[in-house]
Amino acid sequence: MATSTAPRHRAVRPGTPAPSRGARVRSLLGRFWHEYTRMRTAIYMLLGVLGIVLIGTFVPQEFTSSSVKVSEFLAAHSNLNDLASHIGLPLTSVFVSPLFYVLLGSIYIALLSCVLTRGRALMVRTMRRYPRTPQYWGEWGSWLFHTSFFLLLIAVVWGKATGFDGIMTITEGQRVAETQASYDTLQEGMLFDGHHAGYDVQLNRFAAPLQANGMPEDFVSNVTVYDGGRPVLTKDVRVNDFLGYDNVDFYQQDYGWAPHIVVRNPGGEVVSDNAVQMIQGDKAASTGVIKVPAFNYTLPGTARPTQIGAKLVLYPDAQAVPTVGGAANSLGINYVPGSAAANNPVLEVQLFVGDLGLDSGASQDVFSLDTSGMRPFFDGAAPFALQLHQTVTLGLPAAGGGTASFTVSFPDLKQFSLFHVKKDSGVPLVYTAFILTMVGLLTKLYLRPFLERRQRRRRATLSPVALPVSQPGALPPQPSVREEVLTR
Amino acid sequence: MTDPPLSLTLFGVAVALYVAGLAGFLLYLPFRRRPIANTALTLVALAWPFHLASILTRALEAGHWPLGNIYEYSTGISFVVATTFLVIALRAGQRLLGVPAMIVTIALMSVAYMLYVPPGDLVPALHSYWLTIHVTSMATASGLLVFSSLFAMFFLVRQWADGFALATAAAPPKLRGMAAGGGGAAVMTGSGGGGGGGFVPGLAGAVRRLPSAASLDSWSFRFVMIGFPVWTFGVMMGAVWGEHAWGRYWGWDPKETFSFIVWVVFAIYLHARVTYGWKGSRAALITVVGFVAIFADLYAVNLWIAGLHSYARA
Repeated sequence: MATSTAPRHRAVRPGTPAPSRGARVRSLLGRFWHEYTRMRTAIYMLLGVLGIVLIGTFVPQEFTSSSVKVSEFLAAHSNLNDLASHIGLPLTSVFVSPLFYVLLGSIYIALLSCVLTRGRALMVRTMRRYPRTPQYWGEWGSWLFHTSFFLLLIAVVWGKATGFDGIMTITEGQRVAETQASYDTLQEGMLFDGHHAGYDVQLNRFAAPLQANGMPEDFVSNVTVYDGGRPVLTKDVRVNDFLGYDNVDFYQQDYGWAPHIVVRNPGGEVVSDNAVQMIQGDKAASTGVIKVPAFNYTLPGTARPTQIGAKLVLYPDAQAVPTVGGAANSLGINYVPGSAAANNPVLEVQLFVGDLGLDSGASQDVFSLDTSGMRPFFDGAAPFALQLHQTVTLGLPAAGGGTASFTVSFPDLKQFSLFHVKKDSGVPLVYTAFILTMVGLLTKLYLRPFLERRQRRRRATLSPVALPVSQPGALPPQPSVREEVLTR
Repeated sequence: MTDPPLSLTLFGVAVALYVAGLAGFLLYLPFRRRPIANTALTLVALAWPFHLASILTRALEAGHWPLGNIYEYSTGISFVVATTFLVIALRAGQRLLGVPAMIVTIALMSVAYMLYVPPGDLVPALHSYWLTIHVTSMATASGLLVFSSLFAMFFLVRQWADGFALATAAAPPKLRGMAAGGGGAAVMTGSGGGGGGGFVPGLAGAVRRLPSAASLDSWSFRFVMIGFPVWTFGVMMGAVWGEHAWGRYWGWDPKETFSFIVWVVFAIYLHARVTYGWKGSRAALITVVGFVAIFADLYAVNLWIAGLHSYARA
């Protein structure tokens, strides 16, 4: 590139025409492209990637770390984060930050230029039947290694764009259809055609046998797939053994308790009969929420029917602590969590009466209770305890100063299983890219030295015959007739 | 307290012999007597079967492939380091490598002991043959890449010593007496402090007993050449395992990001070697960064940063 090395402020000799504006721009662009596609620039860009990945390792990230840690970090370093966000690098989401994407894009563009240039040179060497030296094969290895990263990129983007990724919770005995509405959270790719597989998945049983140290030994969901109403597949889904059917995969990710709660209103009508998934907390003390919007009872002096809701705490292995007055529940017993095994399941119910706020138009969160339009059933929002198989009868004011009683029962304790469900048709391509990367890398690093060594050895054995006096190493490559005879 | 399991006893014997071996190699530095180095090497060679037996008995005690927690993993890497050192020492006669190699081995085993957990069951996520392939590759690659860094460190000090010798050789005759070995290629004989007074010239003289800078550089490259593909393969197998267990082949989990960092560092090294202005000492410095990154990946991520791989602590 002759123009790029020319000094910038060259005195224009009389007689030579001044370079046109277009030529100057071209020269400048050429110089930029030359610098940009240099190996040195690639090294700097890789160092940049290193820096960002390092930040992403030590700073809690929004999608991989706990949200508490992320907010703690943001609270402690808000100025730093603001500053970094200005240059396109929000610190708690560096892997999806503009700067990271720009850097990766720049590397890929430089890589594309490298792959095209070297690929063309290799094609020319191949077409013109130049000698197949070890270096030639090494070049092919290097080219394959670098090119495989494009396949990897295509595989990742294609897989994410045409697939989806979501979370689905299924309680024991429940059958759920693989449709958009069944997911707790769902992210569909930009090019996803919107057609879910539509088959049903039923969780027959869930088991998490505990080890002596209280940690789960394994967690297993026994699942049956119903396609078109007929059972087609039954399988134990474990952490390392997913369920794949019709290009959609179910992965065992988590599990939890789902107490079966039945509520009857003062009229004796069953107004709620559900296994409530206890999403929050841990396995020894998990929390959840129940909402009964159609309680179907109107308190005297009010215009609209009242609704009830409750915050729930489940201790599968409750330990009773007798108390003397004070903050005990209505039964006079305090419960504290024990192990994660269902030895003595007790449900603590913090009951509220009033308006659940479901008509406000705000987005509904099934896992939290909005008590702004409600009042606690007991003074100080004290909870009442409900043991497994127990029914508690509670009273509400009735017309004429009487009491209308309703019941809350806890007939059964089930478990739910939380599945990571996804469709990603890019995975086989990702694996293909892996194989090509390895083949390219091994060809570059091993085949070339191996061929070189073989060539040297061949020359060394050849030399005493060909030129007995000369040094073996100094022999030039000679594809002679003799060599052919010797190697045959 | 019950008796320690057999694996831990064997582990103790191996460490003791490695420490004795290291002492021997340290003595070899100033005294330069071949028998000292040979004795040290023999001690290491004696430790090796105990180390191997410790790993095998641990596998039997725990009932799974012995790379399921950080104690087992550290022991595994130290075994790769010790084995690689023995192979180099016996095949290429590199005795001086015994000092850093044994320091790394003993350090890894000390950390393993500090984080010791009795043999037991694995957490459910680790019940997979992909685990076996993934962690075995990662442990092997870590052990091998450590040597590329050790040789690179040797290369850097050797280059410094060569520069020092050249500078003093070019200096006025009065100062020349301090030069270690005098000319560019001459190799000094005698003990470490010889060839003139002063600590720095003595040190430079000692360092120049190492193989030539070019040879050390090529040793360093050789270990990247072996270790880098194994690391690449290990990361890929980790991705396959992640896809198999959790339904995602990559999730920017801290352990994943750090293994990616190590991968990029050594990829930079390979590119730097063929780039003008980056080959030689800059490339060597990169492998030293790689050394730090491997150990940060191994310990910092497991112990201080929570992520999906944190179970390795248990």
